[in-house]
Amino acid sequence: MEAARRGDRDAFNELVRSTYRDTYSLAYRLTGNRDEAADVVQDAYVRAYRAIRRFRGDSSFSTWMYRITSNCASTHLSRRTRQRTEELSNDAPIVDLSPDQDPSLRAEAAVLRHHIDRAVRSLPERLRQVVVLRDLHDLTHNEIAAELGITPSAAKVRLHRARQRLRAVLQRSDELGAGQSAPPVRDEEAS
Amino acid sequence: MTNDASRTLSRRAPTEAHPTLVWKVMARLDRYDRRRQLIRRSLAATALAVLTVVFRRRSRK
Repeated sequence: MEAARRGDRDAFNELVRSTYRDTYSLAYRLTGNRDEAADVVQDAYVRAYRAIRRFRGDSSFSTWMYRITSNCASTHLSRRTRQRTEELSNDAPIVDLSPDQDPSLRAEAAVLRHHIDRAVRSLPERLRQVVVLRDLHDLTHNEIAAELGITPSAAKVRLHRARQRLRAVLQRSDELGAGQSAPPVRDEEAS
Repeated sequence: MTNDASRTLSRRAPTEAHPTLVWKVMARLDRYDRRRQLIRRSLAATALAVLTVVFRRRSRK
């Protein structure tokens, strides 16, 4: 870490190698798109590389990267809203065909994951951020608050609202049956 | 033999990063380094040119 902060490129490369999987996973959860997530990851590391001298080490490097990645994802998402691009195909498989586990169990898990992924993606960005950071990256309320620049109680409120929305979306998708997407939930319905 | 890098996209969970991503990140960082070096060099060259002009003018006086 110290070497990277002094400008040692090899040391920074090592940090990239050890953290890029988690960074990508977060970027994918926030953007919901593989290509965009890859772009976000690249931008995030360039930003981190530029700012590494200012990194004080109050938190771990990966926590610092989470914050940079969330900011980059926000930038990408606002750009995407302006460009209004639509994904044409959704050919990501929901079933993992590896034979080392029970195919039916894996298929069920994949379908469930697909539903949850879709529900998380349907959340507005500010709610999605807290769910991803809390439930997928195990950050505490205080850490989430520090990352997003909000108070811990605001983080709790957002998380509560996000979970309410997720519950509503998943219930609707249950009622509609598998394979159909639930219509978006409005604020007043969730509260 | 199938290694991690050659595993097709369809067999990979969407949240799982492709190993080539790390190379792409390195390539972006290389480009950033090269551009920064180029800017530094041109700034140094400009500063040197300005100093030379100033020095010549002063020595003429």
